[in-house]
Amino acid sequence: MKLGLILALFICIGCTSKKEQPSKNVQNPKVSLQTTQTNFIAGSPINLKFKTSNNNAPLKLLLKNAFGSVIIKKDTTNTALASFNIPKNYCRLAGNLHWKLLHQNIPLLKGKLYIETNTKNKTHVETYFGPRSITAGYNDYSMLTVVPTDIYDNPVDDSTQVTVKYQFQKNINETSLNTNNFIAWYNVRSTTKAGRILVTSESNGTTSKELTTIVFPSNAEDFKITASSAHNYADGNQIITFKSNIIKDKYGNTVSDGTLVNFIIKDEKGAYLNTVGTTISGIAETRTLHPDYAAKWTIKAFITGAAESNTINFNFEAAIKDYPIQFYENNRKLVIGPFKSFMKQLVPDGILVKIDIYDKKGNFIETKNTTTKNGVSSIYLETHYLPNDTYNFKIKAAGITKEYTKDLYGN
Amino acid sequence: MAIKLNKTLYRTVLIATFVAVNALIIAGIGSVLAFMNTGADRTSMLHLEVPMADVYKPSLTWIDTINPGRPMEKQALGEITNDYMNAWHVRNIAYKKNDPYGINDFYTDSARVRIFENIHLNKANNNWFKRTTLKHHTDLDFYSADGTMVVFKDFGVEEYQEVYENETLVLTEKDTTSYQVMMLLEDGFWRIRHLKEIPTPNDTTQTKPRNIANKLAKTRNIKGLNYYPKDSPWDTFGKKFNDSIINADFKIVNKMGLNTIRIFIQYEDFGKNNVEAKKLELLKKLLDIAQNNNIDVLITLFDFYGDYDVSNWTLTHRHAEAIVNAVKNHPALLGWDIKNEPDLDFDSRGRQRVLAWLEQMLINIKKWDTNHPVTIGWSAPEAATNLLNNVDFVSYHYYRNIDDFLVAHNTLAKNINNKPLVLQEYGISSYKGLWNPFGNNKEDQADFHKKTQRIFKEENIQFMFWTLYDFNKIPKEVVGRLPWRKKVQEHFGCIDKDGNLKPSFQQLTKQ
Repeated sequence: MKLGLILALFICIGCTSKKEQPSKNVQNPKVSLQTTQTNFIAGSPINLKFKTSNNNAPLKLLLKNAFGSVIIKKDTTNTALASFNIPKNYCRLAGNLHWKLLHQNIPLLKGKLYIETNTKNKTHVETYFGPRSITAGYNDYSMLTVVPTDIYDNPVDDSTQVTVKYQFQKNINETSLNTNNFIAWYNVRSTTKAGRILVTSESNGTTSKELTTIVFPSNAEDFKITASSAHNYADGNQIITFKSNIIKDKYGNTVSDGTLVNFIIKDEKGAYLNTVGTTISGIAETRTLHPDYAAKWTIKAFITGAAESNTINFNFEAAIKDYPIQFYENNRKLVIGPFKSFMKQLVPDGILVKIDIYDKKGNFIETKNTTTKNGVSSIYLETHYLPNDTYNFKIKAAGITKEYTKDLYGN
Repeated sequence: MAIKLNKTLYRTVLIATFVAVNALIIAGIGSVLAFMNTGADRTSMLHLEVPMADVYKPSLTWIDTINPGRPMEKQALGEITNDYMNAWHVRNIAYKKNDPYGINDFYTDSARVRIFENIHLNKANNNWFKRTTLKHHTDLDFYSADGTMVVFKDFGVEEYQEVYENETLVLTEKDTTSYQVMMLLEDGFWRIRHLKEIPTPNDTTQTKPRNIANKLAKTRNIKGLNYYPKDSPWDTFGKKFNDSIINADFKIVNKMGLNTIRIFIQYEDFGKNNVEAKKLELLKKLLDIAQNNNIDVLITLFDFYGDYDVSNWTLTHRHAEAIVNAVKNHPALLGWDIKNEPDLDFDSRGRQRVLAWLEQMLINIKKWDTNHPVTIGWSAPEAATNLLNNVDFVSYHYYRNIDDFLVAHNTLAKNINNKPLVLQEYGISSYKGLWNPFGNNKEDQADFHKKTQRIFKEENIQFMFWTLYDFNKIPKEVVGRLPWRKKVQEHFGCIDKDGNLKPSFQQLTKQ
């Protein structure tokens, strides 16, 4: 029993091995193609008829088009006319349709049909437009590509007429194109005026949707800047404003909002300051703080890689003419100030005071920084850091340097 | 006592349970965390790179990329080519499995519907197709200004298709078709939008005429052997490759009065479709040494390859192309043996499938190398009439009783239209021992070769015996793991494992 089972199993395994195409001698029926039509229009039903000598022969038809293959069976039985209804999706794809008539896996006849694009029915128009933003002038363009297809999504034949319309401000232009390699294309050239160009296309009575490209202003041209402030005292408090005129491209379009303008400030010592503004309605504006000492500024603005401004000068007068210094508590406490501004008013808080300390041999020891509060700044020199001795102090504030030599004593 | 034991038991159980519950909780939390952390990498949304293994490599050449739209960039062309090939590949696989996997990546919305409809039909009828393409000649028509659309023609696409119904192979067909293709760049993929068959222009490319007469004449005078180095059988070009050993061996071959050797190239060893330059260097070195010793070399391709599946055709083609192009101008090259004993795969892989692969490979190699004859090393004289019209000379192997040899040989010789005929492998093992007590000893081997040599001389038969050396280690891919097979296989040489000449050496040496 067991042996029998095992034997059966082996036989089963033997049977499942891959079958080869039988090379048996089959009597092939005589067949001939009855259908004479070889050109069809996409979407129209296709029926292929073959005359056969054997009514019951199991004939099959192998179809192949650009997208794939399929085998279909005849849909008539027991007649001398074998008829095959081609599946819908094969009737709808334009191009060649190859067929092979098979009997018992042996090809008897083969041929091909040509399916034409269906131009009678509605056409679909697919449009691609890009790039969608271009710059004003004579160099840039957006390309409109039009792909008309028939109702079954077959690209139309070459030389199908396509009309392209494009509008800019009050002008509407129209041009006529022919398709080639599935498509018709047109380069919509940029204009010298910034704005929007709208395009649309039409083929075989169907219009596409509206497409837009935006003409952005071209690169900025050179421009002018001005500086303004409430006064020109170097009080370290007031704000100076730099402003450009309306920056335009070479076609007179105001540059796009947000164009970055770099203001570069150079003082008489060759030090650089930088401030950045972006344009709104073509005007870039930016601000910076007055220095707290007399300075001569030279200002120039740039739009990187595109344009630059004129150079302007701005001179700051010293607001603080002088300041007193007192030493208290064994010369260990320094009180610097009060600092008075151009109208004898106390300066705003935060004027930088810098004290460089040297020993009696002139060796640098350290720098102490402090800022003013209520017009005055004070500092206490601890014995831990500066033991009793003679020291030299250089005090710098508001561009004025004062020098003292003092003995520090006590604790 | 009992209470105490009970207490200990309770404690143990309690502690064990506690530990187990904790372990479970931690494992649970762990797997939840692991699950939360799995999933697609966020960068994959960008389709920055879709790493794909080489799966589909038909030969594709761009005729030109001149077009009115926009100059084609090298980078974009590479991407378009890649995705176009991927589109063919996913479609081939979809029709093989009737599963639309991957179609969405390489066909636009409206194009993929056509494929789905086909799959639907074929699924209902239980039809499936194994398809591949071998050659594409693409010619750019249009590339849009914003670089998101291309239209090109693909001329003379050589397509091969096997049609199956259930498990039965219905038909194989090969045709040449041309297409016009529109592809769109959508979220990082070039996808096929339109694919339309167009008429194929007449092929005006001049095929170089074949000039194999010289080499073919040589095949009528082959006296040779199948060669593997003593210490690296079935791995000539492996780590043990040593040119001085090979040189010494070839000197022996030359001294024996032999003029030809047959060598083998293992498919995976040489790097499949991306043939390693290093291996080609070694192959050239071997050919150089052969040339210096006046030995012609018959190269057997595709050893240890047995798939033949249509899906892998293009990969095997690239493998052969690289090797053929690398050495086709070498003076020591005698010809190409496409495959060793492919008829042994008839049962497991299907006769038609194997023959179709061989036929295509013969066509390709004849095209790549117009100066060398091609053959197939059939395992038996009866199989050697397969593809007779496609080979330039006929090769077969004979390991059966030598008394029946002449009849089998002459029967074959009558049926091959006077093409040169080579006994490409034969021999006898001198192993007599534990695993084969009734085998032949060294003297029997010598007798065998004496006899065969006499026959060959009398009948003017071209031969290549198996083999120069006895081998120490036989890879399991050759005869399997069974010791009685391995042992026998080790002793086919005419020089033993220690380098001593066996009696058969004398018989095989030209007197």
